[in-house]
Amino acid sequence: MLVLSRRAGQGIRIGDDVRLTVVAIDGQFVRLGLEAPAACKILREELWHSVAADNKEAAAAPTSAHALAQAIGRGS
Amino acid sequence: MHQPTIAPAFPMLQIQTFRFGEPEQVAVSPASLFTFPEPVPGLAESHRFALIEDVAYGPLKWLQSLDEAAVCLPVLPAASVALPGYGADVAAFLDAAPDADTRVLLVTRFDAEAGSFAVNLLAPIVLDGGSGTGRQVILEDRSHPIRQHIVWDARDEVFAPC
Repeated sequence: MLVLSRRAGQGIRIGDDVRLTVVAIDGQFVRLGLEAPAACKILREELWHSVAADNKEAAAAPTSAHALAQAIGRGS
Repeated sequence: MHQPTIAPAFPMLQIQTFRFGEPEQVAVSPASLFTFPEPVPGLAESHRFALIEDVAYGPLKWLQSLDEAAVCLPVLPAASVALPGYGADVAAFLDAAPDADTRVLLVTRFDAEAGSFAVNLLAPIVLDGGSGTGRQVILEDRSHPIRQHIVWDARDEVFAPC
């Protein structure tokens, strides 16, 4: 992993069309500005992890399907 | 003159599913097979899914992985949950405007802690029948919960948020 030190107001360019700027630093929080093409997905990492955990749980819980089918009066 | 045997244009396919935890064979049409070019979070080994639809189970459907037999996601069409404005929020995240071939599905499960059902509104699964592809879209910054509890309204045959 490439590790760089930046001050508030400084930035980093990634490739030709992605720009990351350190907007402000306040204690434990760093405000970042991101400029990227619309096709480039930008996502807070913890959101991705929460969706991954939810998918894994849902995919491996067949009892949900039974219970859900029963709840809508379609199960056995 | 010899009459050639005409095969049906779209023969049904038999696939194995674990939708109820036990191995089971179900028939799906080729139009129900979807490729997910981008990895589905948490299910990185699964790129091909079959949508299992069964009128016996009403709005409840399943996305059965064809790459990992044990992976089967119970899903509900977003249209089966009364959520004003949700369709427009999903559409805003799509590359192309949704059309008749676009289906928006919500991963659903039983939340044992709460004793009720929940759908994932944060990350709907969008299927495009035209291209036979699907993807899970994460609606960043739209404040949709990953666990929205819902209750079945038998009279209107729709789920309501609760």
